[in-house]
Amino acid sequence: MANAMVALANITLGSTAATVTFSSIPATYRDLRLVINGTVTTGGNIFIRFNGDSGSNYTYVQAYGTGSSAASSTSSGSETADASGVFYTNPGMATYDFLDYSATDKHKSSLNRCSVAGNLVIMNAARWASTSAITSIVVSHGSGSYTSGTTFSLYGVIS
Amino acid sequence: MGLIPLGFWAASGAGGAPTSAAYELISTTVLGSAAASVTFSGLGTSAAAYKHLQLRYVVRDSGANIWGQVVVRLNGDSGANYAGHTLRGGGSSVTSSAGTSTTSLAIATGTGNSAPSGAFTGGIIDIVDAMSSSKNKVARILTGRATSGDNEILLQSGLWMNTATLTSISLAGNGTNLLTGSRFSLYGLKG
Repeated sequence: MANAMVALANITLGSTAATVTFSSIPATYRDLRLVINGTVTTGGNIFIRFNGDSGSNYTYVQAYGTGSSAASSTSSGSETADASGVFYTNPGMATYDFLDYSATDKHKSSLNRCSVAGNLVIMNAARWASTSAITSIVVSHGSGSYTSGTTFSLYGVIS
Repeated sequence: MGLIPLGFWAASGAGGAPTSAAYELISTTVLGSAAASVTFSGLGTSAAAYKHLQLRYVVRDSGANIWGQVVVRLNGDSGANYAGHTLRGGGSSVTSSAGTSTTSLAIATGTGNSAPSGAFTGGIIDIVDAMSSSKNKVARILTGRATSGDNEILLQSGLWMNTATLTSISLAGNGTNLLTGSRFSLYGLKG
């Protein structure tokens, strides 16, 4: 049987970048997995935006632990992109699963785990209130930029 | 299978094609009409080649609330043979709970039929050493609902106190039906 997780694109930054974009994503797969590993110039939120949609169409809920406390937050109808992870200047990694990304009969659900050494660990669920298939993903940062050497790997999951 | 060209900015990178398949699709079910449950059966045959299993799903149920629930059971066992823990973020606080001698591997969160049209809940269930005949079965469940109200993210552990090789996995609404469009995909990981 064929491998069910297919590498679609792998980006390793050769210099600092404020955003990374995956475009022309085919509708061939069932789910997408995005893996980010690296650092940023200033601590803050990772933002994920689909298909260039900057409208109030994103909702997320997250729970996180800092080592001294645990907390949860949610954002509904935000006018910004989905804030679903936090990176700091310490090394961090984030894994996003975008489920049924190519379906045109449902909103897009995602699950995320993010951890940053010495800072925190997060789990997150999000929804993009659109029945459009995801054709592009823009990863940006709320406060700074992703540093050279940071990797962004996109996989398609067959179903 | 190698890299598939996509348009991207920022920098070039390199990726390699896998030389052998370790993560494979076993079966997918997409509901074309409402159903009380979805069951992956015959795993003794279809999953015999794998060491671990992963279930990926999106679900919506017929319940009258924004929230929904999905009951997960193994080998059709509805007896008090399970245990588990839950870490929950509800948007304003983090809570934890535990149960022993429970009747399901997990009660995962879902989306009920009062949620916005089109909203589903996603979940990923990992069952380690699923085909072992000498170990109790352990699972990790990550699931969450973001519906503009009654949102939650759950990380759950599940234990089935039975060393039998898995033959089936069932997911059912908790007194509700699973609705059209709900999708359940089972994958095997070789080890």
